[in-house]
Parts: sequence; structure tokens; C-alpha cells
Amino acid sequence: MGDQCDTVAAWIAREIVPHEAAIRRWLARRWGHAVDVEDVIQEAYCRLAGLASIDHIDNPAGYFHRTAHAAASDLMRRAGIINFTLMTRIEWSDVMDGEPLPDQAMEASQELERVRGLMSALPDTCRRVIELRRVEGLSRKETAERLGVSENDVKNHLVRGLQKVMKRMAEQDARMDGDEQADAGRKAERIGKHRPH
Amino acid sequence: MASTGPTNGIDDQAAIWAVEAAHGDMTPESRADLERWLAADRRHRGAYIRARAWLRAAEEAVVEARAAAVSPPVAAAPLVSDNDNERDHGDQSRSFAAPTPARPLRRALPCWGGRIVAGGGALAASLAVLLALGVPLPSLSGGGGAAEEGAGQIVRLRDGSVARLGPDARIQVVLADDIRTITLLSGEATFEVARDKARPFVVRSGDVYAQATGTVYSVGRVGDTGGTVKVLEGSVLVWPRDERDQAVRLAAGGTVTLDPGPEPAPAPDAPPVRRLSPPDMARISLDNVPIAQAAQRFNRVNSTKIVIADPAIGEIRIIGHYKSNDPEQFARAAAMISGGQVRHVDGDIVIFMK
Repeated sequence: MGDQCDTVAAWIAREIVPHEAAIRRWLARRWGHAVDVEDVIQEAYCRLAGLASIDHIDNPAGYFHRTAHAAASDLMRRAGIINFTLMTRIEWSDVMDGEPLPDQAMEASQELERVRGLMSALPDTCRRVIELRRVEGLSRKETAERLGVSENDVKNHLVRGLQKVMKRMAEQDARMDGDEQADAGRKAERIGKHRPH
Repeated sequence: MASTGPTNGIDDQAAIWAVEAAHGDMTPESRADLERWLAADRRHRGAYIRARAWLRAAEEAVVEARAAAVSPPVAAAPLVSDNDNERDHGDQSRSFAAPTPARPLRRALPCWGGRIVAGGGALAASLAVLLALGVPLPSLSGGGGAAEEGAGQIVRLRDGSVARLGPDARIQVVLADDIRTITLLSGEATFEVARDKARPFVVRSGDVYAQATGTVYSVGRVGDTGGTVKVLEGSVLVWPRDERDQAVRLAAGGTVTLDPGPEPAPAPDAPPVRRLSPPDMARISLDNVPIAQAAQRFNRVNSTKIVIADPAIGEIRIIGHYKSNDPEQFARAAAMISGGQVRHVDGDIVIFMK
């Protein structure tokens, strides 16, 4: 799992991470009672990281969606839940051709903004560490000297920042779940309108 | 690692490893520790990949924010308005309220260091109509890379699509809320089309039309009425004049030149673009159908055949709605669901087990 799959890793960071919240909500709403959302998310990342190439994926959000769907289906099959057709019928129309409906594209850009906002909430020292390391290109030792902390602290600041961001994002999602429930009906209606037959 | 102390939860542990891998000195011992931890549970693997991705995303966000703070805001391309009365495009401004940077360009830029976010807001504030006579793309100045590709100019359209103009190329762009129409006045241009299913992207060269919803293709003028269409990625529908129902579907790598010649009948009152039917392609709806059976339905209507190499894949059932003329898309979804893989063999789409 070294850096030989760097392209895929960079792609995941840029194209997949911003959609995680949306996928999480979708999983929780549709399948939350049947599968563990965390398990599905982790399995989906696992599958994405296993991609040999990402050149054929022109719609990362849709791909993530399908990957999570496949991961959830497998988990459910393994758990012996067979009849999930009805549950997923509406959601399936979303992935009809791999292109987001216009309003979903809007949502995606909002997700991106939200993730940016989340990142800006990184603790100051953690931000500073990243700036020194990635913008100024300092080594860990130089970074530690500049900040007057130990090299180990440099890592600890990063770890805490990362943990905080990931936690906060899961919390945000938990809060938004309520609104999403109410949205589900409207969404189904909207999809119906897009498909006039 | 021991210094970091006890943690609760896979995610916390994964975050520690992610930082260690990216910012620590991984000794053979710690590498072995990591491998052991990853091997212990498949979920560890997923959590680790996720933590690395989040770390990377966080770093990029910081780098980006820093770059934006350091450099002055990027000026918008000097878009030249051609036709003010084309402004009746409904909720145009709403659809573009939250512009995203053009994906293909972002991808072409280096990962680290001074990446500048394109000035989308400024672009969005400009008009829907522009006559782009080789408007350069100043927003790329920070990134290098993509801007230097090709000798021609690169024009970034408001919908996120990108046009690369060859020498002598001139295009006219009209972005309405139901269709994006680009008229190639002369020369040749390549288009990276931002996906927007609701607004097909149609390039007109003389009396030849080429439509996509998200792909990369080039169009060159041939005589007064003709055009050559080359598809680099995805697929494109090509048709002359109002014969859209007879359109040829061109896949990646394909080229077609059409020159319908002078119009036989007197020119119709409305330009052909107005008569374009909405891009409502026939669908194949699958309700828990075995993949093998579904593939047959696609094979009946497409010249590109889907071959299922492994009977086990054929038995897996699939649910969904797919464009009947896009077997590729269906094959990818089927492979995704079945855990298989898609390969192209002698013009066929083959799905086989990994």
C-alpha cells in the first residue's frame, strides 16, 4: 500500500472524499437498518483503492455510488437479506447512466464547499504543520524546529487534526440525517418528473 | 507508534497510521506492524485508505487556501459579448450559482504547490453568449501544464466545458438552459464537455451536428456544410441537418466526416438547432433481471456486442435503468455489481471475472 498507487490515492482524495457525506447519507437512509454504514464505506474505499486505473471513470461520484451499492449488496447477500429490490428501486434510477441529474450536480458542488469548510476548521497548529510541510517543503525535523516542538508532536498535531476532521464530518452527517428523511419523499417525486413515463 | 498511546476505534488508529505513512519514518518494523494491522481485518484496510485520502484532501485544501491567499484573485477571461438579446435563458444564473472548477483541467495540474482555484465566480457573472475569438485562459497561469498543451487557444466555457481551438478556429457559444450549442465557424476545435445530462452539448459544423453529454471530441470544418468529428473519450452522436433520428453513434477512437452539400430544399424558417428533440434516449429498464438476459437486450439494439465471459456473472441479477444505446455504461455497471471487469476484445465489450 505504498505510494506506487499514488495516482489512485490522489484521485480518491480529490474526487471521492468530497462525496463521502452524500454517500453516507444515502446509505444510512436506504440501508441503514440492514447494514452497518461504516462497514460499507470502508469496503467501498477498499474497492476503490484496488483500482488499477481510474482513466475510465469520468464520473467519480457515480462510480463511488455504484461501488458503495455493490459493497452494500454484497454485505447484505452475505447476511442473507435477499429481497432488497423495492428498497433500492428509487435510488437505482439515480445511477441510470452514470451522470448526475442537474440538481445532484448542484449537491455535489455544495458537498465540495462543505468539505472545504470542514478543512478550514483544522486546528491552527495542524494547518501550520501542513503549510510548512507541503507549501514550504520543510522536513519533519525542520518543521519541528520552526514550531519549537518535538518531531513526534508534529505527527501528533496532524493525527489530532485528521481525527477531528473525520469525526466532525460524521457528526455533521448524523445531524443532517433528519432533514434528509423529509427530503426523501420530495426527491422521489423529483426523480419521477425527470422520467416522464 | 507506541508513543501515541491507546486509541479507540478503527478510524482513530487508521488516522495514526495514515500520518505515520505520510509524515513519519516508516522503519521495516513499523511497516510490518502496519501490514499486520491491515491484514487483521478488511475494514482496517478501508479505514486506512479513507484516512490517507482525508489527510491528503486536508493537505490539498490547506495548500489551496494558502495559494488563494497569496496570489491575487484571478481575472476572468475577457469574454466578448456578441448578442445581448440571447439573454432569455431562464434560470441560467441559478444553475451556475455554485460553479466548480473544470475537472479535466484540475486533474492536469500538479498535486502540490501553488494551485490556483479558477475564478469561476467571475466567469459565471458574465453573459451566456460569447463570441470567443481565441480567448486565452488566464486562470491556468498558476498551474502550467494544461495551458501549454497544443498551439491553439484554450477557452473555458461557463458550464465548465473546455474548448481547445486549433489555428484559425473560431467558435460561437450559446449556453441555454436546455441545450449548449457551439457553432464552429472555421478551423478545428477539441471539446472537453462538462457533464450535464439536462443540456446536451451540440457542436455544429456547417450542417453537421455532433452531440454529447460529457466526453472529449474534436470537430473540424469541411467545406461550407461539412465537418469531421473525432471522438477521443466517451461517445458522440453525429448527424446531418435535421436527421437526428438517423444519428451515427461514434465511440472513442472513431472518426467520421460528413459533408451533406448544399441544402436540397429551401432553407427552413427556424434554424435546425431549434428543432432538436430533447436528448431523451430510449431506456432499457431492468428489474432484477439476470445480467446475461439484460446483455441480450442490449445486443439486440446495438452493433457493439456485450459478451459475458463467465456464466457466474450472467446469473447475477441487476436492477436499473440504462440508455439502450450505451452498452458500455451498462457493462461497467454490471461489472461493478458482479465484481467483474470490462475489457474490449475485437470490438466487443467483454465482462469477465477478475
